[in-house]
Amino acid sequence: MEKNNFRVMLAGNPNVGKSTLFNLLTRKNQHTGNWTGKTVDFSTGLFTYNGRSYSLTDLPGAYSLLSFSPEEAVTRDHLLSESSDCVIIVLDATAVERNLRFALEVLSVNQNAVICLNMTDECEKNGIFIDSEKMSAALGVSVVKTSAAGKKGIALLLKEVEAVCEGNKKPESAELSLIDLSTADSRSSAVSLLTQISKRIIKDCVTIKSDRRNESQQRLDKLLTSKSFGIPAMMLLTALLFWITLVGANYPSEWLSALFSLIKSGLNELMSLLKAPEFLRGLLIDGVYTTLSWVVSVMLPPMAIFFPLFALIEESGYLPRIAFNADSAFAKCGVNGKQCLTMMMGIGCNACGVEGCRIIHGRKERLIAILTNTFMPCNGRFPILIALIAVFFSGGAEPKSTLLSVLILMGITTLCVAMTLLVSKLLSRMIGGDSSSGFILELPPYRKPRIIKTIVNSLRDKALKVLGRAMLVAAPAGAVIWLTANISINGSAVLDHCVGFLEPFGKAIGVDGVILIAFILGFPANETVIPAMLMAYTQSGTLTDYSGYGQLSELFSANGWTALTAVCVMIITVFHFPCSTTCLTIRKETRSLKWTLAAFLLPTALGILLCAVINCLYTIFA
Amino acid sequence: MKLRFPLWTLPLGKSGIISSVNSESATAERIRNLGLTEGAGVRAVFFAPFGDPRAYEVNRSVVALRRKQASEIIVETEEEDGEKQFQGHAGGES
Repeated sequence: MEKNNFRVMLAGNPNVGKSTLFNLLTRKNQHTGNWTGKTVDFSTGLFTYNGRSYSLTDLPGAYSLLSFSPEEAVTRDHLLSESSDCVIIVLDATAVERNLRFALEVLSVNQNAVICLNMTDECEKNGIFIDSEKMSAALGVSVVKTSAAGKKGIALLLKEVEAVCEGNKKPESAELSLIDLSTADSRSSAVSLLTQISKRIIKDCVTIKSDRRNESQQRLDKLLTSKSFGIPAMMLLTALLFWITLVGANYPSEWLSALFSLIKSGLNELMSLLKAPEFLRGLLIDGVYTTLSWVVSVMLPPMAIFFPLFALIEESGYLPRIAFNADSAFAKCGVNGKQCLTMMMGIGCNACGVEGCRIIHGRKERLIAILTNTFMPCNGRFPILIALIAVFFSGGAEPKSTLLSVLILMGITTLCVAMTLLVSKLLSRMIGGDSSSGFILELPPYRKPRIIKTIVNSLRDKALKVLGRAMLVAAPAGAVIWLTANISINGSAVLDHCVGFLEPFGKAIGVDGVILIAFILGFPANETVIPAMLMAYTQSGTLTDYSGYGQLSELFSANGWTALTAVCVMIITVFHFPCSTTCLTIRKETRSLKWTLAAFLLPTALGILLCAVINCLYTIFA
Repeated sequence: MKLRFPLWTLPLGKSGIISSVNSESATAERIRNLGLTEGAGVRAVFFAPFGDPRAYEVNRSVVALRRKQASEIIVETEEEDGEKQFQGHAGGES
């Protein structure tokens, strides 16, 4: 280990602001949210202070070192095994009683620590006053009051961390050193001793005006979970989210594509100036560049609106309330209401959703949540739905057609949720194993989202992520599609052979060969599905530039699409095999090839089945 | 005299003191980790639209529990007019 590089860890209960502090110190952009279990794996970043460099590890939240849940095990193992120079124990001052227990547990195994009493401004507003000096004396380590969200107290915290790292501060609590958590025998006496110490410290150092939450929080909860308003509020919020996304995404999409086609003609001129061979020009511009620009112009605008809005809701603390409201439906299907949280994470990214399933304790419930997570359309697939709805069901921007789009999106979302519940119920009957792990979930306080910061962060993260993925995946995919469309075997293009091969199967479920090829080529990233379709339809370089939904409509109609085709494509968009990243994550999380395969086949089979049913119904009734 | 009964039957808005958590060990541990420990004051604050799960306030934080878990936690209150309050139909459940 380098002498100049100190190792610092962040530990604490879930949802106490560790990731916010981590981001603040390392200037990274770890995603934060206001609910338990947002961070399930640890991440590491660097920062410098007083000319020294520090590596900082953000551990997943844990309630106790004695626990055995997977996400808490990561934290425990790190605290016990890794040699760190300092542990920053982050406590949520508003729930100091529960948090202090954890701090004591950590201190009993590692006293090279600084206590960071976070969210102190919120806590004083709620009538809780903590004497940090007294607490520091009682614990034998420094206690610093901070507000990571408001950036208060950070300088002092760093000073204390430095002092601990350099060995200038020796821990002084003899009492805590006596506690032995390592063996099962000593554990029960250790636990009762910890409880005693914790009670005494609370009594000595903390003044609490009331054990009740403040009035507005209580009123909000009563309203948002009430019988008459709870569920409608949920629907209304979803509708609003969709409405803003649809209205907002229309114009930027057109501006972007206008910009890209301008650049394209410039690039074409450059190519002819350089006397580049036609093959190279076609590959780079008609293949790679066009796919890239489609990905950005079709996919980016809806994402750039939907995800900041979703992040704001996440930050507010409303998501666990949705899980709370919906739990009884999940209970009836033999699964856990926390699955609702992982489904909502899945809307962002299914790989994240699958990883997030660690918050579900029951092995079987967790497995089911993993298998069904891709039933929620992720940010790579969501814009496909938006584009198709705009093209086929509500072209204009007038309020009436936007309303129709919102209703269709709500319908699709309802179908996704219904299928998740239905399949969960079936799986829960088929898979043997442990019974319900129950529903035990902390409902965090509502917090006013930091609006600008949240929007900027999620825009930058999403925008960067999308562009990064577009570069990595869409570019080679564009090249592959162009090559298959332009290399001929036996007189016709490779792409035509593939399309022809899949055509009968596609027709049987109401789509065509091109659509199936597009989904198969979209395996590395679903963002490329629509570009792949367009490329295949307009192959051999004769392609018209995409400029807005109007032209998409023409192109699709020219290739035999009807409203029924669009419905089937939307269904396949939602129900088909997970993307490669998600498959790898499922493999990692389940540690089983069998279940990964099941997660691959299950949505695919469901999608085919649903399309077949819809086509049957259509032929009967129309 | 003190009255003892499962947390689940604690009516909306009423409070009690937890006297025992009788769930199997892993579940009990998770419940205690959230602050629902023996001796803690607990209050029924709001119920889900379909009556289950219910939310309980302990030390200003809120924990949601299903019927099964909340039935395994025993709370006690001072009697007062408790006899009438705690007879089964508490909480206006469907």
